[in-house]
Amino acid sequence: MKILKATPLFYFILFAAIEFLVRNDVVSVSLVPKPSQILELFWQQPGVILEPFFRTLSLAIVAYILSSVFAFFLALLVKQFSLLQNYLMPLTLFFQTVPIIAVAPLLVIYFGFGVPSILAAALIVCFFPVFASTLVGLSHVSKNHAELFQFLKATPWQKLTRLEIPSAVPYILAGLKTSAGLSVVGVVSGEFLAGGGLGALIDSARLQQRVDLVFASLLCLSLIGLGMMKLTEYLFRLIFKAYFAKIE
Amino acid sequence: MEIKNLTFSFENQTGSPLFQDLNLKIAPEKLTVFLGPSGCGKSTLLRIFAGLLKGKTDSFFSAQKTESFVFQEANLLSWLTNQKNIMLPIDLANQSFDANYFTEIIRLLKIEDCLLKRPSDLSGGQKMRVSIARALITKPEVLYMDEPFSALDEPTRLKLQDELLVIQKKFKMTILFVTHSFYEAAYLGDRVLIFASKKPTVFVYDQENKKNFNSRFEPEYQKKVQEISSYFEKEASK
Repeated sequence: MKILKATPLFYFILFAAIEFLVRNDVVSVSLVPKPSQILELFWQQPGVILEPFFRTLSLAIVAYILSSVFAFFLALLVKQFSLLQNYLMPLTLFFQTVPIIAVAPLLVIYFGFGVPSILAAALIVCFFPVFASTLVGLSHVSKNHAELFQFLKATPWQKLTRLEIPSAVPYILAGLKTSAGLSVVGVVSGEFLAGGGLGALIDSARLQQRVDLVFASLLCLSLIGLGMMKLTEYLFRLIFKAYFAKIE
Repeated sequence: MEIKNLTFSFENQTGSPLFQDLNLKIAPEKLTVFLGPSGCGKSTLLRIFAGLLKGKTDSFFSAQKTESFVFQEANLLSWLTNQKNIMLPIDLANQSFDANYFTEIIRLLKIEDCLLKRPSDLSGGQKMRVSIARALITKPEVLYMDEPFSALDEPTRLKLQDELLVIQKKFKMTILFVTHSFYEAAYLGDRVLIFASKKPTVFVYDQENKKNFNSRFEPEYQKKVQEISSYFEKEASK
């Protein structure tokens, strides 16, 4: 609690210090904007920031949910058919290791400028953490529990729903949290090339040397990331509470 | 239950098999103890009886009986309440639930207060009690127990040994009980199968009419421990 109370104070002092340093030309205003300048921007031209903010936010949420659901069910499928795992693992590893910014131009060629390309970029980035962590979690069933289910002659479906999925819960949550942050990365990477949202705003601000606009966008992006984390925890609790109530 | 000409070796095992041409008959409605040091194959034999492992060649004779297994660890599912853990076998098998019987075993095992809690809220002894209740819920005729009390503290272990004898007498179950303790074997067993350490061959220490001991201070109990111990040493040194 003490830390929580101290945090706003810490940031207030930090921003005050930056304001002081920039005002007195210790740090050039062309490199770091005054915090008051960013506040002014939000106050005087809210549309400039808020419209791209909501666009990026909504795309991040849509991409995050779509890719998480898809990754989860694909992991369930792959777990049931180990042959599928042999075929799909190299492909998923390719998407995990190749930088999204390198794939994005290809997506623009396929899907054109606009939402589909951005969503595709975010889906690719978000997919792997949930897929891999679910798969690992499903395989990490305790040997003793597996023996119990074998002795009780549980069907494969019972084993999956009563043992493997509940055992995988901590792994799935870890994957979802990673994906939550990555969804913002994916959307912004897509927007750099396909246009729109905070990605395009940062890109045009860069051309105009508007560091205040860049910083304001970064602030918004971190807010979206934070919001996605909270959304994860909320949805996770909601879904698994219902799930456990069902199997109990 | 009877096993004939059992030969068993593990998948990656080289050399002579763990069991070769083993013949064994399990007396019904008795408590048979498998006694031996770690790694001698007693738990493996128990798993073969329970159908969790398969021998290379064996003919296994057993009338269709309901069976249950109590593992070395309580092996409870942490995401379920203890009540749901106990009900798991009948849930998975879609069996009907006998509320009177449920209440009876809960009372016998003294876990009335644990039902709505999760396994993580229980002590080691309580977890084992819940685990035994889970095994009893299917009204088993045969109960396999793999060193169930080995991780418990001494007072809890002694108490659970006494309770197990009461339960066995009440439900007239055939129990196969694995342990490495001479004391436990002497106290519980109607019949004790001794596994010699290097060559796991089974020797039987059998007592015609086992008497339940009133206390562990009885000279007869001490005598039985000594007999089993010297029998074990004699066979192991052969």
